[in-house]
Amino acid sequence: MRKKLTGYALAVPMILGFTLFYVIPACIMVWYSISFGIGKREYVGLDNFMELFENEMFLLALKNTFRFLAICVPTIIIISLVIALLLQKISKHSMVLKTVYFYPMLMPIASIVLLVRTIWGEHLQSTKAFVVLCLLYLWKFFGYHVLIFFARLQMIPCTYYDCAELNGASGWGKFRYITLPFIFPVIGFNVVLAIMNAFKCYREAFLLGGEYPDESIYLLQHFINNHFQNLNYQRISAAAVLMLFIFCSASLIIWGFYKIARRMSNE
Amino acid sequence: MSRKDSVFLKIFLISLAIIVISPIVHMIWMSFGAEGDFSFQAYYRVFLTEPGYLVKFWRSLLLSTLIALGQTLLSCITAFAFKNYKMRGTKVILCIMVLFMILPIQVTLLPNYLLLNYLNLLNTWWTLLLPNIFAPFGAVWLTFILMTIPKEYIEAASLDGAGVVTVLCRIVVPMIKAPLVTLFLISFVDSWNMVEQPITFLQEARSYPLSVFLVIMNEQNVTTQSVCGMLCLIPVTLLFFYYHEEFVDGIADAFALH
Repeated sequence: MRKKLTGYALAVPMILGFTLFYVIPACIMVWYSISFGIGKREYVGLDNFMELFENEMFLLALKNTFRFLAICVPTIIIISLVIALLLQKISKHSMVLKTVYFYPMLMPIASIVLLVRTIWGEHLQSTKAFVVLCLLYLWKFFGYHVLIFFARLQMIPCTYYDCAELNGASGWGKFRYITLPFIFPVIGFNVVLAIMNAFKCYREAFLLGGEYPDESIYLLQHFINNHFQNLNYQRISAAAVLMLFIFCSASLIIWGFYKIARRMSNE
Repeated sequence: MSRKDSVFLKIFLISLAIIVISPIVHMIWMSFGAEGDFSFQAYYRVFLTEPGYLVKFWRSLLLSTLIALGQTLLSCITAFAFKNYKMRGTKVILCIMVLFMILPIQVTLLPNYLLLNYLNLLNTWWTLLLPNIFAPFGAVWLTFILMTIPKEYIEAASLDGAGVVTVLCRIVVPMIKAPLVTLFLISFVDSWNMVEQPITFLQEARSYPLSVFLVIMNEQNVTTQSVCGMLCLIPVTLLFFYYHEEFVDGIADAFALH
């Protein structure tokens, strides 16, 4: 009995703070998104969401965000997987290289912004801003994924590869039957992380393009930020709840895939 | 793998590394006066004659250190509580924490703003400290790490009469020293780079931490801007050089564990 109390007492500060700053705000968000009114709020159901989908800027932001995700996430996963595989073949100096690749993720954006403005300033006002943002994202985060893939690849015992070679497997065969099943769970993680980091790229877009950047990099968070000034709580809450919903469903889908893959490999 | 292939591979990977580092090298070059005359003038300005930048630097450093320390301590205690004591609802709480870990900040930004406004904390640095100290990442990660520690150590200690504090300080913390350091570093870097919270919660540009101030400031001289960029880069780079193994191994282990 006393043991349990100590446990509760230890965990309470964090749980309280977490609830106060994360859970309750999320609940308030959900309530704001389904209600309307200044002062006294009334339940309006899904009206806010319907209004949101008729908003041109929101649709633009949504389209841009999905375009960014659809292009950058697979690219970064494939690139980092390839580089992790290549790194594995020269394991002697891989530590230094891995460290170097990881460094851009830690660099403060403030330091990069000036540089990007100097080199690519004129492109930032045109549709090429999207390309700049993609490149920034790839540069910043590929080292992170290389690290994770590399750590997982190291766990594959090389006896598997030797066996395969003795049995005459080609390079592609070895990859498909040995490497891929091993790193399959990690790919799911990496996808979730890549999506998370892609949303963080809003910082670069904001600092480079300002509050109203060029059309091609106007992301969801820009939309939310701009309506902040108008105190248009409904729109912000609806957009944020939509984001929450996207994330939940993406995580659930990936978790579902993972469970199915596990079950299939156990059979 | 033939020697020639291996050499090509090495050249490719090393040139990739050079491309990755080139922005920083470029910035260092620019900070010394890119117009042709190599001078320390910009450094002189930033470090000696205009104290504003350095003041911001030290204040941001203090803020990031406080956030990192707070998060590490709190996560350590909480992870220990989750792991050691059988409480109902731990799994549910952990699931919720994992969900919030991957959400972007915008989801909770507005209500946080309203809440902090209600508490009259808006223009102070408490708004940056508090939500970040209670960030769920540390607790979740340390809970998973603690799962790898055998229970017997803690049970043996309690049988010998150790109280909670002793068990925590003398047994658990030394065993997870490396992940704790990694958590501190990650937390520090995250708070050093934070952009959305200062812009939303702080209304005066004067009180922005360094990460945001550099971009908002009206400085025409490119060289001075580069030096400020370097200034912003220094703590992270130093920490990285000194602790790069903890960073790399910590992150790799976190995901190789599953």
